[in-house]
Amino acid sequence: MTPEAASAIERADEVLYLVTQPLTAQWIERANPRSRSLHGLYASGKPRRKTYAEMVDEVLAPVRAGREVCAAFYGHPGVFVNPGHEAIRRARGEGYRARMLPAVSALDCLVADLGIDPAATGLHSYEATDFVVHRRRPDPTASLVLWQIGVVGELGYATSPRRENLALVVDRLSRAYPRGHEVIVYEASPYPLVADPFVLRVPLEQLPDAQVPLLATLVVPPARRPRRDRALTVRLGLS
Amino acid sequence: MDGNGGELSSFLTALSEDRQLQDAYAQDPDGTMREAGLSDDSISILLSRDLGKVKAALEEELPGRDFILFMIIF
Ligand SMILES: C[S@@+](CC[C@H](N)C(=O)[O-])C[C@H]1O[C@@H](n2cnc3c(N)ncnc32)[C@H](O)[C@@H]1O
Repeated sequence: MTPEAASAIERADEVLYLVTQPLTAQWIERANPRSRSLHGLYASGKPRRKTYAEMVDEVLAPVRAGREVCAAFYGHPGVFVNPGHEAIRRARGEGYRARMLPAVSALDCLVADLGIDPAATGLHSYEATDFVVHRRRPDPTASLVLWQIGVVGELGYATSPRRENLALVVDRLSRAYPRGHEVIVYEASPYPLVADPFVLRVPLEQLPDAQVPLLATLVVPPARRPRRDRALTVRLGLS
Repeated sequence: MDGNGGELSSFLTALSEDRQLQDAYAQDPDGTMREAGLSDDSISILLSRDLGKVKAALEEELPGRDFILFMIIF
C-alpha cells in the first residue's frame, strides 16, 4: 500500500472496502475503525450490475451527507474495478471532489516477479473471457497478459477454474502460438515477506489440466521476434 | 503479540509493521518464529514459503474473510 493510500484510509470519516485477503481487511479496520466491507452486497443469483450499482450507492451516500469517504479496492482501484471508476464519475458529476489514488496492481507484481519489461517485448492484455468471446487476435511477438484466467465464463461464484473453459482459451491462443509454447500461470504473493508468488510454467496445450489458482493471471511470452520494416527504419534515421 | 485473529495473522501483522522483526526474520526465520511463540505447524507452513498453504492457514484463522473477487464484464 502506498503511504498516500494508507493516510487516506486513516483520515477518512468512513472507509468502504473490498479486498481478497483477511489480513488486509484486518489492517484496514484497525487503521480506521469507521470501516466496513462492501462484500456483503454480493449474493448468488443477484446480477452483478446491480451489485456494482449498490456499491457505488454505498460509497456515495455518506459523500452526499458531507462526509470524507475513502473507498478501498484491492490492487489498483481502477484496474478491473467497475465501481471504483463509476463512484468517481458519479461523485464528480454531482459536484463533489473525488480522486483515485494509484496503487500496485497484479500487473505491477508480475513485471517484478517474472522479470518482464514491457519495453523489451511490447505488452498487451485482455480479460480472459473477453479474449475468447470477442475472438481477440493476440500479437505473438509481444507479451500477452490474460486477466481472470481462473474464472473464464463465470457469472457468479466460482470455486475452481473450469477445465472446458480453459480449453476454449487454449483453442483461441493456439491460432497464434504453437501448442507447445510455454505459458505462465501466475499469482502474486500478498505476503511477500513470508510467501513466494505462485509461478507455474506449462506448455499451452496443458493449461486446462494445470493447477490454476482462482486468482491467477496468465502470461503468454512472445513466440517470435517482430519484423522490422526497413523503409520505416531508414525514414526514422535508425539504420 | 495481540490475540486479534490467530497466532499466524498476529505474527504477520507484527512482521509487516516492525522493521526489526523483519530483519530478524530475514536472518533467522525459524528462530524468530520460535521466539515469537509460534506453533510447529505455523512454523512449518511459513518455512515452506508456499503461498497456497499460507493463504489456507490464514483463512482457517480468519474464516469467511478470504474472498475471490472478479469483475464480470458482460
Ligand atoms: C477483479 S480483478 C482485480 C485486479 C486488481 N484491482 C489489481 O489491480 O490487480 C481480479 C483479477 O486480477 C488478477 N489478480 C488479482 N490478484 C492477483 C494476484 N495476487 N496474482 C495474480 N493476479 C491477480 C487476476 O487476473 C484476477 O482474476
